[in-house]
Amino acid sequence: MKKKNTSAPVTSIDPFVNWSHTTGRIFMLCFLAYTFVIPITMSVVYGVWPTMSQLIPGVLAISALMIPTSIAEVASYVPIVGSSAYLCYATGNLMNLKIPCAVEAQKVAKVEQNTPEGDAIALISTSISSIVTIVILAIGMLLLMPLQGLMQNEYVQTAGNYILPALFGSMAMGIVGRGNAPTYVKNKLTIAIVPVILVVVLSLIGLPVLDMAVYLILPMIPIAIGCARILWKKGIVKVVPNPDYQGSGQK
Amino acid sequence: MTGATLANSPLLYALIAIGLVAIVIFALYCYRKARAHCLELGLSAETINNVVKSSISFAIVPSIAIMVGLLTLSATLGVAWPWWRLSVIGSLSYELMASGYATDGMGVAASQVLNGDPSIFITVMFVMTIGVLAGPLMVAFVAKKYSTGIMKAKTANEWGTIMSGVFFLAMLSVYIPALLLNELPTALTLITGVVVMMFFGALTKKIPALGNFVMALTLIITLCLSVVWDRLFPV
Repeated sequence: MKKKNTSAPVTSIDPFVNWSHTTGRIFMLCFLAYTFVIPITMSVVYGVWPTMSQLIPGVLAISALMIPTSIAEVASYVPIVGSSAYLCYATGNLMNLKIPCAVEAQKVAKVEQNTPEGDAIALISTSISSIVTIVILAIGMLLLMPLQGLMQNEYVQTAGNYILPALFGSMAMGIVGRGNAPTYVKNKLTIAIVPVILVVVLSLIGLPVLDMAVYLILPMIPIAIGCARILWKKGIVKVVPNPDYQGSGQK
Repeated sequence: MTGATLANSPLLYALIAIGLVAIVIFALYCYRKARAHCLELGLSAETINNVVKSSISFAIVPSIAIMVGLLTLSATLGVAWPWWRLSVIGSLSYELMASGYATDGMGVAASQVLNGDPSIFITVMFVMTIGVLAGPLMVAFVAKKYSTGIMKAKTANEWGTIMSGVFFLAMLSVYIPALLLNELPTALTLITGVVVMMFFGALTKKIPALGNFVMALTLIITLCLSVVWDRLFPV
């Protein structure tokens, strides 16, 4: 017998989510077109065009890497950021800024991923963080000379190499707690046992798991879903009322 | 004429500035729409303002790291083009790779991008632009069906709720052990992030106003300590 959720099933898409996807898709296609306008305009004005022999080796090499990477990223990031994925992808810096920023914003607003509220909050976060990055880089570019000394400071450069572990360390606590939703998934960490063991084994046999992380996510998603399904069927993983729930960030 | 002529061209700066202004306008438009929808859904203005404060404070530190990346790339690509790539679609690791593949493919040294024939710089621009297309195109064509499908499944039954949370868990279950099994300073930085986050989590219960800045403060302190770990345990 199917266990029923307490919230009403969604049968149609929330109008805002629908708007956000449609607008995002149009924006994305216009934006991608504009990314080509820049080199094409430069080529036309300066009369300098790349030859096919110059272009093809580089395009093939980077595409061979980027196509599988993109499949893995889209499969894992879109469920987290929902309809703000368009702005996220257009403004880049996903793993080192947009994704953790959106996750933190959902936490601050006490909303869940994959809900209309979670989508709207992720869009607010992505819009704001995109603007912050654009403004900081614009200021930085204008002050490039005076800032050069600071930015090339060895401590600043060293710290810059540790952004990823610092971000994941900060986010790790998010999976341990019960969160702020009316319900929470009891024993959810058990779902991660098999994927974690697999990553450890792959590391022990000498694979550079950190360099391959983005590719490893792709098989880990169905493995984790399979584990979750088995654990749910056995009654180990289940949705229960959250005793820590203090209401969402609602009026 | 060399690649530097194009890289430092006022036209390139103007094209980039137009693109960035358009993105900022779109981001502000999205913000307004999303804010209005949050209010319709019953979220308080205070909650939304807290999200804004949290997002601003959170974004500053990684943006400064991206700024360091801009300086790194500017040595081989000039300032304008990395400014565009890092402000919008790219990331430092991708841009370094793509520009490297482009020059390798042409059989020229990285220094030739600015000092050599201008076609080298133009080729690098095209390769970097084409190479990053896969992800955004996939998002444009599959994100709606994928995301709304998960959203519907989430509310359909208990299994949907569990499954919708698995994606984030899968991502962390790859990255966290991969980082912990990496070099010692990397593992220590991750552990430091957890400890500092726990400290601020406890402190926020006493000082709720701190809540919006916890992630940013955690990031700053963890990164400062990462320099200590890097010096104590050189790789």
